[in-house]
Amino acid sequence: MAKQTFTAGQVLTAAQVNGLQTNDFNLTVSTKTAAYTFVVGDRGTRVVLNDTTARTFTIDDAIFSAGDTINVHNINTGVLTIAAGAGVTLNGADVLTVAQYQGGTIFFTSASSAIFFPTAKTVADSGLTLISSTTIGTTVSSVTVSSAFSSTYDNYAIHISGGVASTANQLIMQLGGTSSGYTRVAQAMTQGSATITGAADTEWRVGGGTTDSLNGWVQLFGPNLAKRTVMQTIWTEPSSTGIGIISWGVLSDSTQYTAFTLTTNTGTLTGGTIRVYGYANS
Amino acid sequence: MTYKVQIDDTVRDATPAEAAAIDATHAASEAQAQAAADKAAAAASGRTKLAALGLTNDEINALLGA
Repeated sequence: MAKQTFTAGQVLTAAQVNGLQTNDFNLTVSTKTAAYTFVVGDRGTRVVLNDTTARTFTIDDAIFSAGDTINVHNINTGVLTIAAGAGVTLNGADVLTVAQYQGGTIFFTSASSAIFFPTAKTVADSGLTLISSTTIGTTVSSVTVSSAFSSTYDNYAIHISGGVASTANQLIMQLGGTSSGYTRVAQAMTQGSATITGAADTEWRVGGGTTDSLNGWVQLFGPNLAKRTVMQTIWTEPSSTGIGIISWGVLSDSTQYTAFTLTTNTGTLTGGTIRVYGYANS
Repeated sequence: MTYKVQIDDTVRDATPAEAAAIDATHAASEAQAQAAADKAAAAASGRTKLAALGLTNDEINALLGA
């Protein structure tokens, strides 16, 4: 139950008192399935995210007062980010993200400042935070992850796993809408052969798959910084005669990217997961 | 050709522009793969010709820096 305001001389009803007592001993819970901006009625209650897509709960300025608290937790795979709206200062332990089955308390120190206290173990303890987890659909030729990079992290790891390809293929990564400026060099070896083959091209081939499964392990350095982005990747064609490739490349522009797209070089993808992790800056 | 694209959790048919971009990606990838294959074939052919001139494998490797 939200905080009530009583006036002098007012006769309280049993329902009002019981409602407040109930919230003390059994927090009022409101569950969200989309991005959300906190409202004054959330004070002293618990706000829950239940969505498979990464979502943001935003704190706007001049809504709350010093001493107010809001409890939050996340019960689904979409990572919850607690964000400060314009004019709000939000501090937190390492990061302001809440993974599945984690939570925390937002404590307001003024109308425009708050501190987020995680109450469960955060992945940030290990220096690596799951930012998003995208399940690949059926027979798709490309997958875009739109909120992958931000100013919170400089460097990222992207894992592609599970699922299948309709035919042996490779996955080509592009950042944002940029289709040129990519360079890459690679070394490849075929299972059962010690011969190393070198290649140089203008595509970021960062993963691939067969009708068995998909895989790719990509490290991106500075995609959201106003500098060139560096890519390093390792992936293996899941076949007894398949190739394994290690490669590294550069995108020579200073665009600050938030999204990436994986496109097949042939055929389609079905199932599997693309997970984006951020490396804590400190 | 009809393609499906996925934006986060939403799968839909590609727009004409998106389909053209996928076609371009496929064509460029195929061209790069062909260029790599042609280069490998040229290298193999060169080795064969050097061997025909009487060079040993060690001499060819030393010459090519392999």
